[in-house]
Amino acid sequence: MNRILPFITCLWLALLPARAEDLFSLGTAAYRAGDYVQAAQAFQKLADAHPSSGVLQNLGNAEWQRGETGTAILAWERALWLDPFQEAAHNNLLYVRKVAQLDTPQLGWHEVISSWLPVNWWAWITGGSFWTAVLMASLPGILRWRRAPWQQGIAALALMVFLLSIPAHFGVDSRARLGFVLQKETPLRLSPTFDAQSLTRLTAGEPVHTVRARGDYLLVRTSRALGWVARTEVGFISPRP
Amino acid sequence: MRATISFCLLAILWALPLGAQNPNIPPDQLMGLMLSQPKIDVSFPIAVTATFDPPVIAPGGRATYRVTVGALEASIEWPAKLKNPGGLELRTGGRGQILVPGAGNLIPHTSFLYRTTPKSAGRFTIPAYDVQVYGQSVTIPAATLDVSAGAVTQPANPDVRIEISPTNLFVGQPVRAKIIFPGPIGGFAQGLSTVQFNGEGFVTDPNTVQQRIEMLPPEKPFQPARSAFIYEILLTPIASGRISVSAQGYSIGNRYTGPIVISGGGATPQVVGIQYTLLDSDPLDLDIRPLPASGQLRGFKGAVGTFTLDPPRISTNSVKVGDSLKLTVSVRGPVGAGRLVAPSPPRDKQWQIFSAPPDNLPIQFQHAQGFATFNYLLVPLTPEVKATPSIPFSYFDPATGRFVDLSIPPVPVTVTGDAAPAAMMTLREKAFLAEPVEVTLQLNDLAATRGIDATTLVPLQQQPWFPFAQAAPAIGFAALWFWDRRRRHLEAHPEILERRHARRALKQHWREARSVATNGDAATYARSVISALRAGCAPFFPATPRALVGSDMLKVLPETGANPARIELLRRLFNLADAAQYSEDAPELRELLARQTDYDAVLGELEEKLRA
Repeated sequence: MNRILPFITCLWLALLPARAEDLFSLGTAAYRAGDYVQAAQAFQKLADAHPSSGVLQNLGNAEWQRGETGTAILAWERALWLDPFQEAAHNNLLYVRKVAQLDTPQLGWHEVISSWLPVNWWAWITGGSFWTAVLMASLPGILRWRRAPWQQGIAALALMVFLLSIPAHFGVDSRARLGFVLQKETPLRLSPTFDAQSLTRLTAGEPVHTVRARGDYLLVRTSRALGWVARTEVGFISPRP
Repeated sequence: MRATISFCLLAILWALPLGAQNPNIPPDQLMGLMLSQPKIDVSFPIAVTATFDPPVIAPGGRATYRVTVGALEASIEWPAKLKNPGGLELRTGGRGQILVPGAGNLIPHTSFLYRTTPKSAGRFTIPAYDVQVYGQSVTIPAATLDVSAGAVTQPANPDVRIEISPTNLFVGQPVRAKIIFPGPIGGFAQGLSTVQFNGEGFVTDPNTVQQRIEMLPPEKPFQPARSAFIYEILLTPIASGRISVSAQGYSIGNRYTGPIVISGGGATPQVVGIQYTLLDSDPLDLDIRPLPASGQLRGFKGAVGTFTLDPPRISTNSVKVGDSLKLTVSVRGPVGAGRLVAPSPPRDKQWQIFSAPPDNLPIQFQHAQGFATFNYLLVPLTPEVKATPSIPFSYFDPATGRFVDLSIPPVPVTVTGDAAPAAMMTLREKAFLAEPVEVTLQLNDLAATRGIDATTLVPLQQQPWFPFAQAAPAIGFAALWFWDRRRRHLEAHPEILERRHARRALKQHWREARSVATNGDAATYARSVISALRAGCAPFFPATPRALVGSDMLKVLPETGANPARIELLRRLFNLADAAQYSEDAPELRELLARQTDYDAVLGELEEKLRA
């Protein structure tokens, strides 16, 4: 068994990318053939297993073509979450929000900064710059190098990058709580109960900011009002907001 | 003073009634119009009927369960689902309201339709049930449907059907939807009122309605032709995918609403007592494809169809710099040409181009004429131009599935006069640069690759392992710091290292001694023990180990030095070793092996001293 287990693991790892590529090709072919339901299923399965910017962009296209505006916008937002340099997803969001007359999420300055780079880059940048600054300040003493201006310069630069990257972390944290209404005509409730009075109806794809949670309901703030929605009615960029 | 106060009070008292008076409001014409309308009857008792139409059918036949309530639709709390008697499957059909002229008032009629197609014979009864109307309970009577193979099927109400051709469309492709309401064979066709299309994913344009009565060709040979009421409207799908369209309307006899064309021998019915019955059609499925994401041309404004362009016309062939001329062009198409949107005027450094207001024609007339007219006002800025600029325009041809360029071509024109003043040209240049470039938004195509991969969408800093990952470099840095501190300490106290090295050497020689003692090699044993003693004592003297003698050992080992037997033991060891090395007569060294335990005790004492 001890000999077979590594073999199975290696085989699984070898087959995994092939299966992912198969699903990607299947989804693309279904989309080209106009079968958007199957395309969306393939891209969704792939995105659940291995989220990637290209897969999420294609998932957004398929969902949009089958009329699921909320899911499409969520997919494109997730694509930009992983890769903000992806022009196609950005253009699609502009296009769809114009067509569906939807608001663009109002982001704070720290959230805007956090959207400049892929979300995971910030953690590496902050950690790397901090330890670079620490090591550049202390290593010459420990290793008995001759003190040189370039060492001080690198330490200062790294410290500056570290300080500048900290607001982006707050931005990442608050953007992770940004959600999008998945279904059209979603009721915004006055209280966190199923039979609560409906304050207004939210459009599919409308952005909401989570304020707090209570049971199966979330208190969300939209551009129009503050109210409760069911957890299942909102999709978040990060699945664990 | 009193007089002043009295005057002020008088003035206030005089002014108060003036402020309270209503202004002289002219009579509200809208209110007058509303008051002049017949009153809507909302009184009780309310007439309610519930029937199956027809009441007797053969298995597999179709019947309609129709409930009509004499009340406003908004006031009826209709149940979301009806009771299902004996497995009779009811499909929700149309629902609507009509106001029927009564004796000086309008009586509301609200109808709810359900369709059923029972497969098996039997007698199905929907029992009576209550609904809330105007806040009061009203009983819907029971209705019975007989399904029998042997029964004579009674004639149903005339059927309404919807025709749309083709059913494979593109988003934005207008198509004429036709509702056909045939009259009975040999009879007259009735009209439909309050016609409504049900479904999602499309829009209808009420300005394009056309009504007519015409003869339908016979469905079977030797069957007389039938007259039919035909209602046409322009339907445009706005969402891709499969959409379902159905239609409904009230039969109204010959009380047509709006203009109607009667042709082909059709005749209007001589209806005495009109029965307002809500009729609906079976749903029709349309397959709607999206426009291609790629290949879109400049000037595309959503025109889908096959269009042609008339030669453009200009208001004058000769124009002065700064004067305007009007460019008019007509675009013709089979369906929906009247709804075309004019392309945006292009940016041109030699022309100022404005979209001119469309012709002041009623919207119905624009649809009826079958073409759209685009007007532009053009102002030449320089006498160098010889023709009007080309205006980009394109449409999507559903037949070929491609975008087609239909740009408005240039028209030769003579421009006279001097060039526009330099100041104006500078302003124009600035405005030209400041004008936002029209960005045509469209859905981008699929990504060719999977792009940046991630194991999860949860950001790194929110993952549980991230704090531990951050601790790793901290631990490394702490280890480096402690190493540096230890190194500095050892540099300040070199004797620590010397003792460590001495103890290591002592152990090595001691091991050798034990090894050779096992073999009975006394000479080597003596040398190894002496080497071990010298190595162990060296850190206590500023000398190399080879220079040390037995007396030096005794200085280092106080316990041994205080023990005469041990002193003798060491002296004997060194003497025998020296004799073995320098004397011609080899001494007997085997006694050393016999005292191995004592020598081990001495070496043990030395090791302990080095460890301290």
